[in-house]
Amino acid sequence: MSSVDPITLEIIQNRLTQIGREAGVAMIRAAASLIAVGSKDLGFNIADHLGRTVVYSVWMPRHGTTLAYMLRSSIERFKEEGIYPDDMIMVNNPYDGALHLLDIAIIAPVHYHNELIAWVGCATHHLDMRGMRPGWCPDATNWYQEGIIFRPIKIVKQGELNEELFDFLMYNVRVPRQQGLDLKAQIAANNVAKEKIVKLVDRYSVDTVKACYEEIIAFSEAKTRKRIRTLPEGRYEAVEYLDYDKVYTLRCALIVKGDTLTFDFTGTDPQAQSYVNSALACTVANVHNIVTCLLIPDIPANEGCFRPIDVIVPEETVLNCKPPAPCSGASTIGGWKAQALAIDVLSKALARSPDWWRANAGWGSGWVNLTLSGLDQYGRPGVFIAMGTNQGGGARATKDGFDVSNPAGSTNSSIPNIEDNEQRYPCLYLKRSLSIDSGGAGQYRGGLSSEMVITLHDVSKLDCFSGYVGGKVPASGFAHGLPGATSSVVLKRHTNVKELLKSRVPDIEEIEGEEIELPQVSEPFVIGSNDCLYARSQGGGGYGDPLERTPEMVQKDVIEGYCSIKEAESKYKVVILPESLDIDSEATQKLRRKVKRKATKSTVKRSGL
Amino acid sequence: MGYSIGIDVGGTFTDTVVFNDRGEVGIYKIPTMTEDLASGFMRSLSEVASSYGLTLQELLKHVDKLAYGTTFATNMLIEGKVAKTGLITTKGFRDTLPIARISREYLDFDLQVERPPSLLPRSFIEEISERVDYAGHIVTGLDMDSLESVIQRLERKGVEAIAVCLLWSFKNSSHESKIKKFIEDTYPDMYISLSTEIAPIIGEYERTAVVVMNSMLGPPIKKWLLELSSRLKTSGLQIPLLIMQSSGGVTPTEDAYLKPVTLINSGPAGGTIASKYFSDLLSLPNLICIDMGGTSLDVSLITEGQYSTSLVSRVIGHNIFMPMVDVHSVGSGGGSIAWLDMGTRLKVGPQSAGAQPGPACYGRGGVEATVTDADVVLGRINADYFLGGEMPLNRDLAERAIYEKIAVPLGMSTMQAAAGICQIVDSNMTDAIRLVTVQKGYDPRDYALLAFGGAGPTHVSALARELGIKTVIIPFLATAQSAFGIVNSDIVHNFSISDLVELDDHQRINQHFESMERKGFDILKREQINEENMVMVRYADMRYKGQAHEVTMPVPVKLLNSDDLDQLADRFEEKYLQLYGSGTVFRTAGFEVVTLRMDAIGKILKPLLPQVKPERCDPSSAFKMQRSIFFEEEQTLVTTSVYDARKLKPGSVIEGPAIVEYHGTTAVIHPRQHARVDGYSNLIMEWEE
Repeated sequence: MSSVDPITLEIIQNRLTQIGREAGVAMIRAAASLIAVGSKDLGFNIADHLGRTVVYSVWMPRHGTTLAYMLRSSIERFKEEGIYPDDMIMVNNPYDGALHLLDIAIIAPVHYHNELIAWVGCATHHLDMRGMRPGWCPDATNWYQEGIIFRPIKIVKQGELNEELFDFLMYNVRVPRQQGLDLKAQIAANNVAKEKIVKLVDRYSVDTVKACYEEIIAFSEAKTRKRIRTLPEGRYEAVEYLDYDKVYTLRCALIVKGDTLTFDFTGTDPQAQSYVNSALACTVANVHNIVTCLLIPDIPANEGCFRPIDVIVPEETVLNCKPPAPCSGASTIGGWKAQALAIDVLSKALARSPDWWRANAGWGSGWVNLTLSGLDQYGRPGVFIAMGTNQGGGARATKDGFDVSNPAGSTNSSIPNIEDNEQRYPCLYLKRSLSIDSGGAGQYRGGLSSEMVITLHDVSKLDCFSGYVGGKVPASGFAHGLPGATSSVVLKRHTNVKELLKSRVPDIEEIEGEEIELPQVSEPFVIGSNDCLYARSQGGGGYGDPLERTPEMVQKDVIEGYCSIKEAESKYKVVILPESLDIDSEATQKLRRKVKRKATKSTVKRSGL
Repeated sequence: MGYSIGIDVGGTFTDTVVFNDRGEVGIYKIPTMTEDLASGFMRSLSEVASSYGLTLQELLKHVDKLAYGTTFATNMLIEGKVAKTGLITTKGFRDTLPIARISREYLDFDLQVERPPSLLPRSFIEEISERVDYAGHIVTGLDMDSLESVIQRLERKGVEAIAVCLLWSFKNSSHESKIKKFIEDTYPDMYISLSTEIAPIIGEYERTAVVVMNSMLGPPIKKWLLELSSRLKTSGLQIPLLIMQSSGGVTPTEDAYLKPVTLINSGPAGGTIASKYFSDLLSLPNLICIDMGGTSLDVSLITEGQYSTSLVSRVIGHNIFMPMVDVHSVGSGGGSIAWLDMGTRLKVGPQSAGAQPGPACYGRGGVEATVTDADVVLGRINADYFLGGEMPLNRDLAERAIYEKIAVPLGMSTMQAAAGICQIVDSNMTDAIRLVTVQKGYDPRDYALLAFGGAGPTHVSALARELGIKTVIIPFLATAQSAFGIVNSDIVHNFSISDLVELDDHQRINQHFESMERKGFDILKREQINEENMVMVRYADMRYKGQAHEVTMPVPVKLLNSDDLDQLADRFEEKYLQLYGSGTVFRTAGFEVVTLRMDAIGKILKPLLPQVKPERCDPSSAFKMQRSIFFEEEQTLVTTSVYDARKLKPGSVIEGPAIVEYHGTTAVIHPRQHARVDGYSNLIMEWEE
């Protein structure tokens, strides 16, 4: 029996969660960069006085785990010197827990009459950390090239902003005006949360709130263990390939035993000499993120949920790199691959459990990183990320995947309007649309990715850098579903686009110029006002045999333009008449019968189950 | 004799409030005729007429003001009872609407959650070659040649309405206007709306969503309003029918045909307008207003005498650019179901028993324990006087549900369990209130709490205590608050200009305000508003240069000079500091204005409220009975006096614990709370310090 009455407990837990949300809103409202604001790539945690996470990031979930790591590092680092009321600590070191160095965390103790009663902390992606390239450093070969690293350091000392440190950072980064506002927005978020937690403690007493921490964590732990028991015991394996400067092999085995889960990444390749690596905290965070989204989305997330979960990653591998390996791409490359593996093994276990309907095919991930930089149309220096998160979601056991989605675990992120982008960046978008046929075929179709075409506008040149994964290796299908489309970036040089625009908005195929399929790791290059960039992200994997998709569902996709007539016939074996868009039932039946006969004769290697 | 009439057509009931010149008030409630709104509307008026011993014609001849609001536009969208609509957009951006900025259900981890379905299927979205850039310059001219075939394709699909949203049209509307002209010339029956007419604001997704909703609602609402106007005219109405808007304020019917999207949530907006009225009347500048019904709680705020308005609102899962009175809705109501998580944790909602089967005590087969059941078990709601006795409740069924579902598993008494249910639903509601106060940087303790709706007055005092609020008000029209707000509204027209301007550019800022003022003046003049009754109110949405969110600041109505703008910057920083705490202002970043806004207000007739001078008296003449009521703060049953609201005289002073029963709601006065009835018959309750 708990020491706090269930009603007070419920009230305090709701209130703490709400405070996490309100603080995140404060940060979004005060921040400047479209990553923090438009994409909501931010996390906000509340931990108890002992540093145990009580409210796990209600925004982008994986920041929840990394903030927990960074809080532990901060406590450890200031053990001697001490942490005082109204201090705030800044961290971006991947080996102290940051997702990658571009994610800066600001962590603050919460005191009530000088007694430490809680910790709050937030993290968000910053545009630049003075690396060899603006933002990510896709061609880095060691971490010294990637920018400035802060181990836990006090940015606010007893309520006073550490001006020297603030100025030092602003002096070194490429877009100080925006980053200054973003950093101040993080301080604002912590202020907002601190004030509210103090009020809560004032209302309910320190002892009551502390007792609630225990209960909140214990309750989530018990509920998670109970959920794990619904999974059949056993070992579930998956392998993923990471294509960048070369193709890396990543492995994961999920061991379900009693009420515990072990994710074992043994067999993953040694660390890369490129920015795709992920430090341990980032890998663990992405595993936790998927467990939260796929297995226990209905359980309040906090430290208790992760106690039954063990993550084993051998050192000096792609998913547990050590200095001097670069890892600025960890958040979107190594980290997302860890997510893909976790989805695959967990779905395999789920598919055999009463919650089989939760199983997912692979989600599109390969981040298409097109970073443009230089002077904007107003003559100010800027860093522009022209490609957002635009993948297709993985199909689910009972429904299609999301068309044009955020990655699986980034459940709350969104993309800016084109008009917001064009107001800030010297670009003209000719297109941002669904990429037809990019979703993996299946009984349930993988989500379509998006594609876009841009050209420069009101400036004559920008520096450009492209680095992306997923050009060769697609998101995998599940249970006989097919993989989604791969990603692609094409540069068209010295085109007639400006001439064409005088009379009409051209399709990419109509634009004449030298066509270069950009390699996944490109040399930095300059784009001029007559150049065009086309980019497409990965589609989601399909779920179940495409032959199980009803001809009517395929027809609807054709009518609505999600699937071409050609794809309908080649992947789904459904014949659609080009004029009327009616189903040719006879031809369809014949085609489907023929394929089924063939399939039973040969042993076809299937993805998924 | 002249009459002012306000009508609120809700999903279930139509409420009508009538004032006459003598200051007498009448309240009428009839079921909404969802299948024939015009007839239902006329029936409400006939009912009013007969209660005054008049024919409909006699009544309408003497009506000086007739205003109407509804939740119906929202319901039409939810139920899909809208016009078949096509969208024309810039080439390359057909998928802006289906992609919807990719957001999934807000703050939810679950990978099974679905995105709200696209407002339109892709096959109803057509692209046209044209392009305007961020500065409003035409990059590519409008392809007039293909316009014909674009519209033909839509027409062949049977669309009755077309929406147009082109990129950057709010900077240069010439392409949208050309399309409209072409359609009007070639397809005169087609309903058409342009994004620049509805919301000339940066952000193509939210602008597209609002113009599409507008076109969807256009044909049915236009048809209905035309029919209604003609029936009213035939029956003798001599003044124009006024329509409530979601932004607060009414508008003549013709304007509502063009912008039917402004009708969304206009009923609840009426409730907030009424609350503002009470804020002025009672000199309480800060009010939190709650409307708690069977399935939901609507919360709105009056701060320093003003209600807040959101510029982006979420409607059926889509964000739209439409100024709406901020009414925040959560799923806590009388029908919210109590349940046990893991067998030990008591939770309430979000599932609701609704009206069918309803709470267990309705006796319609509901077996789940609901908030209303808990209120009945605790003795707060009189089972024999629910809806004035028109619908008796079954107390035994309420007790059984709470006993079996909650009390036994938790090892509590039924009373304790019922009190626990109320405490949790109250706490959920308190969180909803905190969300709309603290999230905006306001401290609820600086507010009074005003409650209306069927369940509001029952729970409001507990919420007040939890929020640290001293004063609680039950307005005398608690059961028809929205209709009252609707009849009490002025004419309001909202204008905005989206233009990124540095704060020191006072010339450009003055230009924009002047152009909006000219438009506002012209339109009010057309509506025969005298100049002395026109009021212009200005706002600027401003931020630190490069931020992505703005803070809306009031701007003085005058020719602005650089001193005025410096002062504006100071006030912005003051507000900023108050919102985000120390160490967060960043003056070196500079300031910019994103959108300038103006409201053109035409002051019109307000009904006269009946008032008597309150003289302190005891409430004994309104005494009804004594009842045992469980109060959680006493942890026991307390013998409590029950009073009849209709018989309470102004000036009555009631010491808690006590109950005041209205036709349609019950006010609970807790121990250590006292209440008085003011000169308007509002019940004002205060917690002792």
